[in-house]
Amino acid sequence: MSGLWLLADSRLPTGGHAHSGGIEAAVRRGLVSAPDDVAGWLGGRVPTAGLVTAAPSAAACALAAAAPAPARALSARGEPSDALVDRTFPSRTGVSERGEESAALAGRGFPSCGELRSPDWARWDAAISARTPVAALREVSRTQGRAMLRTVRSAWPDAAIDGLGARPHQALVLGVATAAANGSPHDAAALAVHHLVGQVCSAAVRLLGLDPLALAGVHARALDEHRDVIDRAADAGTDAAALDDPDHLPSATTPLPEVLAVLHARSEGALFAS
Amino acid sequence: MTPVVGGPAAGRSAAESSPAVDTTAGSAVGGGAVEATARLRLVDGRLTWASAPPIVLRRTGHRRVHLVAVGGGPLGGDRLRLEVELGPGERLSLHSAAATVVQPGRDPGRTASMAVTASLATGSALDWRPEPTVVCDAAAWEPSVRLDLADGARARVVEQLVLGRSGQVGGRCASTMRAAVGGTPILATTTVLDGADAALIGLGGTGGARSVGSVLVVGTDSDRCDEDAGEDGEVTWARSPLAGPGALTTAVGSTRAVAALLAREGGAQPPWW
Repeated sequence: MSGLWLLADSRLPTGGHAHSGGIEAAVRRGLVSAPDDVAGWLGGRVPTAGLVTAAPSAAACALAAAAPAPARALSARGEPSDALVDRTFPSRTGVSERGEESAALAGRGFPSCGELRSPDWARWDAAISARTPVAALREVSRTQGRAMLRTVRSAWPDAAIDGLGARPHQALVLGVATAAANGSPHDAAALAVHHLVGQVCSAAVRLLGLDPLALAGVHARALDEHRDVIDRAADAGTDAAALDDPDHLPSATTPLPEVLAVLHARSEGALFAS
Repeated sequence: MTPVVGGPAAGRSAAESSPAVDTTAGSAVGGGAVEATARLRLVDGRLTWASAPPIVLRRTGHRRVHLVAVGGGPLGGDRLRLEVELGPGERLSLHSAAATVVQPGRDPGRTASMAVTASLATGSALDWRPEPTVVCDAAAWEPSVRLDLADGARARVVEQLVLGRSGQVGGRCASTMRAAVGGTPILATTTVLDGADAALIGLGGTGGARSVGSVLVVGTDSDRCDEDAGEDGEVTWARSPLAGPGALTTAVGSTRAVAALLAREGGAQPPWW
């Protein structure tokens, strides 16, 4: 249980502090000036982009909870899982689609071990890519996923990370980490939404000098008002995992933030990476 | 899942010059709503189709077909489908004759849907470019486009949504685009709009804009797939490569500016190939 506190901490070394949940692009266009504007942004994004990232986190948690621990899996193969992952999927940085390639290889590379079979993460990874039409946001997701993977290896050596590849989407790593910390799919969905809201709120404080107390209120109210989003993400992710079909993951989005994400990635002098 | 009642399969050997139009194809599903499936097939150079009112298909040129809407829909509760199949190497340009105006019907809040599915064999190309869709106040609209491309096939889909008639704020819309190439999904996204929802019409939604347009290009040799973006006060837009062969351009702005952007980014004149 205590591991969940670590996963909820914004100081978790996954690079989340370098991202604004998309709001910097809106701030730089003069569209955000008060805590209410931040709440408005979250009102559009949490039930759409938030749902879409929380559901695969929940699914990954459910899948990982049913997957073999590396210690058991490696005895079947007779070699340490980390070495296997590192050798098979060399770290390749810089181009997002390469991460997708390596993840696709990962899915094909693992033989079935009967009941100990690892989830076919490549299909889930591809489903998240398909639900992230903006290439810059796929890259952000993989960069954060890679960073979180390192943290997970350190904090939960038994986490079911086999086959995730070198640069998996963050949503999958968060789900696997939640399972390793004995959390539920609902916990994974809540953590995903919490981090999206936290990134937006803390970025608003840093970019606009808004009152941190007011933004703490925005954060708390957003989590409360969107409890149903967390519930729906947990249900959708759990159902998709039970069906072993990532096609069932939700895919909602809103248009302006998607467009701003591309403009932001192409701009210079931004404080946040996304 | 309610069984779909529709027209005769387009696959039957209707001669190109005598389309199978079955005026009984649309069936009532309660509350005056209709359920209808139209089919269109171009295989071995033979174009066959089966209209299903309110979806009526009309051949308007070589490798070109128009959807001719009849009956003043869609209305809430309508469930419409159009199934397209292209054989190896076939090319089809598909249009609509007029803007689609989605109205709430007798039961406001009931969702109307239009599902376009296309199965594209290797070397084939589909250009789907309907006129804009207007979602009126109190209407709920769920359009979807599902493209299933064999390796070597191509598709382009150019669409524009408008929230509300003049003077209206507009209804709800959830527009889904899915594309798979060689069985691998490369796009699954649902754009959610609601002219009456403060959050969705606000900063985290459309930023107050009343129109959203998209250009989806999928398949091999897809041109103009590199990242690009721009904004001029009237329209904010971006093009981004997908996680596979293709790109999605999204534009948010005034109806006129989005239309102009789509004409530029989507290619003003068919055929696109």
